[in-house]
Amino acid sequence: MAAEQQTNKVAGGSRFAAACGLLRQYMMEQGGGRGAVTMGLMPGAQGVAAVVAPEERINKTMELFPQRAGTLKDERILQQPEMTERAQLTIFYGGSTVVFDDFPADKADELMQLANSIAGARPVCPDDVLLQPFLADMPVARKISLRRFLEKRKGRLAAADPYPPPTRAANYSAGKPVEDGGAPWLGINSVINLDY
Amino acid sequence: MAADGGDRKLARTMSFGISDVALGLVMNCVEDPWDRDAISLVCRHWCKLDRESRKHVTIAMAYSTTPDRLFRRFPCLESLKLKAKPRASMFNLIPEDWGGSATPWIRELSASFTFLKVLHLRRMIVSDDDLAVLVSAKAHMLVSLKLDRCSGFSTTSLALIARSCKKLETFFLEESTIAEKENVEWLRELATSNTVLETLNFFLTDIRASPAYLALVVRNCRRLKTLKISECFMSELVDMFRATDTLQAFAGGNFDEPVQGGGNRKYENYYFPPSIQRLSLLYMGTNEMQVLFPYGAALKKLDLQFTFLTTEDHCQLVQRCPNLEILEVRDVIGDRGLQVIAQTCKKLQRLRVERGDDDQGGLEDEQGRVTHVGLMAIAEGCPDLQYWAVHVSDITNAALEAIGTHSKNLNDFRLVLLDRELLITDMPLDNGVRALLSGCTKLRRFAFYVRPGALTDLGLSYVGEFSKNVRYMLLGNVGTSDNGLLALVRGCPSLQKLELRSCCFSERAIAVAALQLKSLRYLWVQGYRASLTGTDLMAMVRPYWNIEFIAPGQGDPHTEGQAQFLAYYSLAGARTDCPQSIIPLHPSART
Repeated sequence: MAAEQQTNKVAGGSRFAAACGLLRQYMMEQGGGRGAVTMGLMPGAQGVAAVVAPEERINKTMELFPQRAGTLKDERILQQPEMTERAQLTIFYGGSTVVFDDFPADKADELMQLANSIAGARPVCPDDVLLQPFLADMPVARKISLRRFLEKRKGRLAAADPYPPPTRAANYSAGKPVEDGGAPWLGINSVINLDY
Repeated sequence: MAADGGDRKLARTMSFGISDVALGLVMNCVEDPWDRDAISLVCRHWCKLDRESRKHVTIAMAYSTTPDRLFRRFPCLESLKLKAKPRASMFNLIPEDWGGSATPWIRELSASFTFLKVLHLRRMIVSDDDLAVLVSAKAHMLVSLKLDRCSGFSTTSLALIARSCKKLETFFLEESTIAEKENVEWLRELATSNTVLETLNFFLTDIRASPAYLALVVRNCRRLKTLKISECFMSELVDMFRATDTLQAFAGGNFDEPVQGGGNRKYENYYFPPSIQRLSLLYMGTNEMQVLFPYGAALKKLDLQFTFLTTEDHCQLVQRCPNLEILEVRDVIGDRGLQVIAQTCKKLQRLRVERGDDDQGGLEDEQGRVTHVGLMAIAEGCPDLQYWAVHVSDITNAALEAIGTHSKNLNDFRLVLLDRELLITDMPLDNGVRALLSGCTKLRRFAFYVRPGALTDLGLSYVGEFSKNVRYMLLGNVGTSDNGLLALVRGCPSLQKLELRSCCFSERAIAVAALQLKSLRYLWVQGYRASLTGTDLMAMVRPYWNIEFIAPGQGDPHTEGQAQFLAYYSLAGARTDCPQSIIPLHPSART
């Protein structure tokens, strides 16, 4: 029922992941509905960003960001307490994204208040600290055509060299985002041998 | 009031004082769309003349208008270029299902535009049905069809086009994703149906190339000047090359094939037609590059991006090509290679230095590192350079100053500072950027993608101040606070298209900036400081602007945690084909 999808990227998000696990467990016990509530806990602000998207997906134009600065306290939701609106909830935090379907609006509200209280308790980070995650999270993008070529190139170099030397690339790429990450050929033949 | 009246009188004089014949003759000589835009604003009559005589239009964003509106404005179009998906899609940063269907356009083009004969679709989804509609209406007219980085169609449609469009001179499919890729019938159809083809391009596609049918194409289309194909063993293309004496440009092929008896002897004395001027050979290695040596002096363009060459190989090869006007390489060419270019290629107009492999700290060759040293050499050695895109590992202010001093013809400069090196020799680069921008006065496009701290808020204020003519700008990892962005947008009077990536700017500052830039029509941002509620983005919602928030988790898996949004000027209103991953922000949501 509550179909969820979790994409976990950054190590160290384990506490967050555990929290999401609990949240998901809670969600499993709830009923279904429609609409969309998106909630962002942005890593940059080390705080909380919330996005409310009420029931307007029919014509695909939705009041995503209500002018009112009151986080999730969308008036329409508050005015109709008898109608428990359910929607999709997306949480962005610490480089992770978790999506819950059919999340009740009132629970989302509670969650936002909780998140806000935690965020509010912490001092706002200075700008130079904020810059760091951007560099780590966003490697320079590579053109698709070139990426495809480099993948093929690596495959061919590996095929041409039956006894690849031990991986040397690990030292370089440690702590550095590997853009083509996850590809099976990574690190197999790190030493390029063009003198065949 | 008095001034108003005077203007009106002047307008009347201008529209009635010149005969329509004279005006028509003049209009036919005005090709620049900016000039035509200005002319069409003079009075209704001149607008009508422009309407009836405009032959070509480029629509940079397909959702910025509607096919119907285009027809009402320019019913006599002969040529249309249409782009849909954001540029970032070429870097896998945009969700697959973003949109960009050609269907409504092709329907209108086929039904209404009687004179259309040239169509260029870029980054769009084109179905087999779309192409069938187009062919049934326009087969007798089409002279040029470019499906440029498109997807959604199959080789069956290519066969239909080849069979039906007998006037086709340009058939361009570069980097398109085409289904039924093993089917080579379309090539046979093309070879047997068409005799006027001048350009055939299916470079960087996965569709199969049949050497026999290619030879047939070359034999039957005697005017063929450009042939760019997918991967295909070079040893099987010898017949094809021997069959032409008009071919000027070739791209594709494949040198990497099983070698029997060691050494790639089969490429000794490889034959290219004497007319050849532009080459892009795939998987060419040290042992094969001598195939180019006899043709070096004839070559005007060389694309080595997709080869296995070392730094030394690049030096050896470039030394033999003194007449190059266009060179495309990866950064494995190194500073040494750039120095050789600077000494050898005095006519160079376009230079692209792409980013190479990331293994081994990004060094494919121990000398393969591009820095300020190479940049300074090129700036001093290649004064005709107009386009220069380069990925560097290190950079200094002095190098940027040298470009400002020497590269007076640059109209497009793009620099990406890679994140390979921990330390950069010279930071910040504010003064260098100021010198570059104030020196390169012809600059229309400018990209500066560096790292945090490399361009401060002061540097951004220089960018604003000295880029009066820049229409397109990409900035990455620039600025130290919102003040930088706000300083930037106090200038940039001509900026139409802005892309920001991985910057520390807040949502509010970006929204304010978007309102400030008077010429802006397109803004793409990925990686910014979102406000607590997202409310701040609403500040830039206004009539005639479509703003599309792309939720994280879409597009490239490695940047999935980063929100992005796209905002563009549009007369078409909110689009109706948004996928789930796109959340449009609309003026009605403000209330």
